[in-house]
Amino acid sequence: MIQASTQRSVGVSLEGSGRARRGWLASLATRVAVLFGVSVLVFCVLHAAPGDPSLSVGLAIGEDGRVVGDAARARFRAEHLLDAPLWRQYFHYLGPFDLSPRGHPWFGGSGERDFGGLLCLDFGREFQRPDVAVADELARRLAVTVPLTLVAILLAYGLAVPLGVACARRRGSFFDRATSTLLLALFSVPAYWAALVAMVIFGARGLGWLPMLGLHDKNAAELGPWASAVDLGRHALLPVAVMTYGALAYVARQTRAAMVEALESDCVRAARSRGLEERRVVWRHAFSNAVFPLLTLVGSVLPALVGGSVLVESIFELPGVGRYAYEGFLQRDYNVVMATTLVSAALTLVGLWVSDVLYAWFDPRLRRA
Amino acid sequence: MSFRSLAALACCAALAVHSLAEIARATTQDPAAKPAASAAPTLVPVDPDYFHPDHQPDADGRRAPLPQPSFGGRVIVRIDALPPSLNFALDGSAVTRRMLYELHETLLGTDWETGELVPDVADKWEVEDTLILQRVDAAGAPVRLVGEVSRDGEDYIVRRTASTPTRVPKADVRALERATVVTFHLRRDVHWQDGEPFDASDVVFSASIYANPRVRCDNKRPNFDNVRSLEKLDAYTVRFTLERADFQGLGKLADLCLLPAHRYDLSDPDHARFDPDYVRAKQAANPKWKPSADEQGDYINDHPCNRKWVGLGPYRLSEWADDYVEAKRWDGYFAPESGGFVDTIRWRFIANDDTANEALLAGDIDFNDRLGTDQYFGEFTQSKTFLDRCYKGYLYADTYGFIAWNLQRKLFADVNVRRALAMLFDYEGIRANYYRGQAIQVTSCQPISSPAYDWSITPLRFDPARADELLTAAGWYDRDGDGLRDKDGEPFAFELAINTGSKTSETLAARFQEELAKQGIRMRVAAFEWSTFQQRCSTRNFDAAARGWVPPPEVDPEGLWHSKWANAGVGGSNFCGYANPEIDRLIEVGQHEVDDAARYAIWHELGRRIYADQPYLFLFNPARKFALSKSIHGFQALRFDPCYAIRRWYYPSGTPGTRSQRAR
Repeated sequence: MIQASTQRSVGVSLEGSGRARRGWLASLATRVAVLFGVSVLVFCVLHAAPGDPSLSVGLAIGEDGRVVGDAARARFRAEHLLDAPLWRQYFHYLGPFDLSPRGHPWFGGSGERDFGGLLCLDFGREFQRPDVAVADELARRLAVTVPLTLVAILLAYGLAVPLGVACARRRGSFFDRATSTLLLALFSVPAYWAALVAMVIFGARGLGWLPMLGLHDKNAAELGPWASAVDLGRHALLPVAVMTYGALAYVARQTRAAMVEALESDCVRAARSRGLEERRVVWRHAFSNAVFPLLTLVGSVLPALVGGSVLVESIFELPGVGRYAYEGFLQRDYNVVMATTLVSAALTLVGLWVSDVLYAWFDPRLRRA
Repeated sequence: MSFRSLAALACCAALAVHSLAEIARATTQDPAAKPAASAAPTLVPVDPDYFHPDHQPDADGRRAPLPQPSFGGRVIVRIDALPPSLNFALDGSAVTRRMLYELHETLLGTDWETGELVPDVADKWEVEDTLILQRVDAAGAPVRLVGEVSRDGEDYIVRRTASTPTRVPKADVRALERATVVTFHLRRDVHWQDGEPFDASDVVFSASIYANPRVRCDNKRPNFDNVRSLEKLDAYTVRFTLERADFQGLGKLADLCLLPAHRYDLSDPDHARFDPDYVRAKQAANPKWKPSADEQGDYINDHPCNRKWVGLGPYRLSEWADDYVEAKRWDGYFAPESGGFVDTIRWRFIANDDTANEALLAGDIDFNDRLGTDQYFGEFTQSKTFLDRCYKGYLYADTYGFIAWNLQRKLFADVNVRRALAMLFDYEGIRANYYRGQAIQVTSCQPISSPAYDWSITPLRFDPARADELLTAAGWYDRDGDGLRDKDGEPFAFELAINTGSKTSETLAARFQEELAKQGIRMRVAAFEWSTFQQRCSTRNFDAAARGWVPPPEVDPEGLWHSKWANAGVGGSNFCGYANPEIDRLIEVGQHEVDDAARYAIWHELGRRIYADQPYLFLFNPARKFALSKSIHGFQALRFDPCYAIRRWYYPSGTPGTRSQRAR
């Protein structure tokens, strides 16, 4: 009897595993299709937007009214297929065949560069600096943005969750009202304004406590490892603070709202009636039910990691991804905008997937489903 | 208020008064009374440390002597963009050029104070004419005589050094092309920054790349279209022969971006020493490999030295980081006496103006030349931190703003309407209130520092009464009582396109809009971000557009005003669609006139006619305002680009970290 039960159990498990695998594959296929859709959409919107990248390139060279920019523009348009039909431009971007004049001979190219494009994990080269691969520059920018944003997000969650829980526990008290008002105010303050105010207060015009420019001192090359770390910390303090407070306010408000609801639920009432310690009731019973809205937010964490903050990066002169995308858009550098958008879209999908997994982890009903 | 603050304020006030006086003098001169009015007035004296607070005149008008220079130290200069590359043949951006002033040299230099060509890596040069005869040589080509050509009655005399003059009857002459043969004699003591000697092969290679269509030098290529032949006469002598006379011919050759052939030229015998991997890889694939033109072109386009620059200047590139470029003084420079004082120059990229100002106060940068009017006259430059650490000044770079009318729109077809609109712009009010007097009303497309700029043209003034008369005479008056002028059933209304984020354009447009509204003209201001704005201009999809130019030392007016660039889709910069056969003729004559005085007279005539036609509403050349660390001395506001020379800056003797001798 026991043996039969075990066999049935295994059979169900195998069958479930197959279904799960198919489910995962379907989910993966859906996400790839979404990513493909995003690439088509962004590509079309970008090309439909007014502005001409060849004019930006031509004018970066000189603003003296001479005729000499026209040949450069003509070459640029030819190299980037800007006069070709949009579908051809898209398939050139998508790859794997290079459809440019130097591309695959099947498509009329000279055969110097047969393959390329997104399917070859090639984001192309920058329009303004043709010797710079977008993927390389993006990696350099990520090395600035990701650590800063990661610290900001961890700080925001690390502070916001206890704060939200404390407010919910003291619902209606002075502490709750004061904190809620403060959080609302913080949430309403635009990041660029906060950054400028921080600059005035803590910079050389004010107290002169903190450096404002970039992530390293002008003499960073002469500093030892410890001094270098301190220097980095001092430079990163304000950008991280400015990136943190908005998320902190939002997550704390979300946590409070979810906890208020959870603390009034039947299970919490039952836990209290069983005489459990209050801390255990709050964190074990109430918080585990209130965590779901926070899990939804996790989906937005990964894209935020790469997106960074354009304004904060601009004000503190941080060469991050947000600024890269912004500058790319201003110059109509299609390769830069496509790369940053697609990486962001891909990470959004990964974030949503992580969020689904965490939901299943925390909620046995979903896991069983 | 402390004594120091009072002194600083007094200093600023003195400078402002001086500035206003100079500008008033420059712009109110009477052309009839001053026949030599074409000479540019001194807007900012070129004296070193003119603005430095330690060097201001005392009660007797005497300035303290300049401190003794020392050697060493570092200067950090703010730039608002990082250059894509330092190869000026490929990238002609202003920031690249600014860096190369310290990192590199050209065949001939430009005297920063007079604008004249002066020796650089070429210590001598000769310019000769070409007399093209009717008779042909064995190959069927017209015979060309080269030398100094003069007229003697009906004959031409061709003189060449160490040869008997040749007399040619006029009837035998097909054409005379002035200043078409240029011979450069190179210095023999010049070395590249990697230690290799510089010689004529480098010049020949550097000029030859423009004939290779694969090289991405399209923006410079037209400068060399006119080169008929290029000869290496010996290891240190090069001769260029031009096809036809060109007023910018010598200047274009003198400005040739010199490249080290041993690094860039695949066929140079020394090349394999510097890039053995490339040659080895090619020969492994094909033992008989010879570089093709396409391979050579790609090699130049993607060469690492485009960034890891190997130049001829007094400073050698030492680091290219994510946010700055740094160069150190190079002891192998051929003219050490003008090789700079500071050991290190760092160009720090800061895009945001507020951050740059903050960095200036914090000591992260020493120089910022993009100070806004608000900062220059406001609390920023009056703060104790600023006065303790920095001082401010201004200079006039060659840049100007204008409003371009789309002449292909019926509204702006009448010259009287354009003149009336120009008279509705409150020049004096805007100059006094917005620029605080630090701007010059311009009347021509030529830079104010150039003799080609005609200071005798009397600028139009704000004159609403006269504008009203002109508009009424042109048939624009309010017929239906709606407060707007109208004609043929159409109200006088148009759109002014401006670039998003340009505070100057926004302010000027708002003031103009106000004055136009008082005269029954509706102007809508539409802001477009740069790429879109540029596209609208290029496709002539605008009524009026506010923008600016940064002209070269002498503008070839063809791109701006010749009718062949008047229509959309043909290129050029004649956004207005201006077409005037007489102007076309003047341009073509001027382009071939190599005598400076004669050509300037043509450009003056052209400028007068253009100003009378008003295709642009010419606005201002605003002062470029800067702030500099007080510890740095030797700043001079020069008339020509880049308007200051970092190699002349120094720390006074006794400054920690400096020394009295050049050698380290």
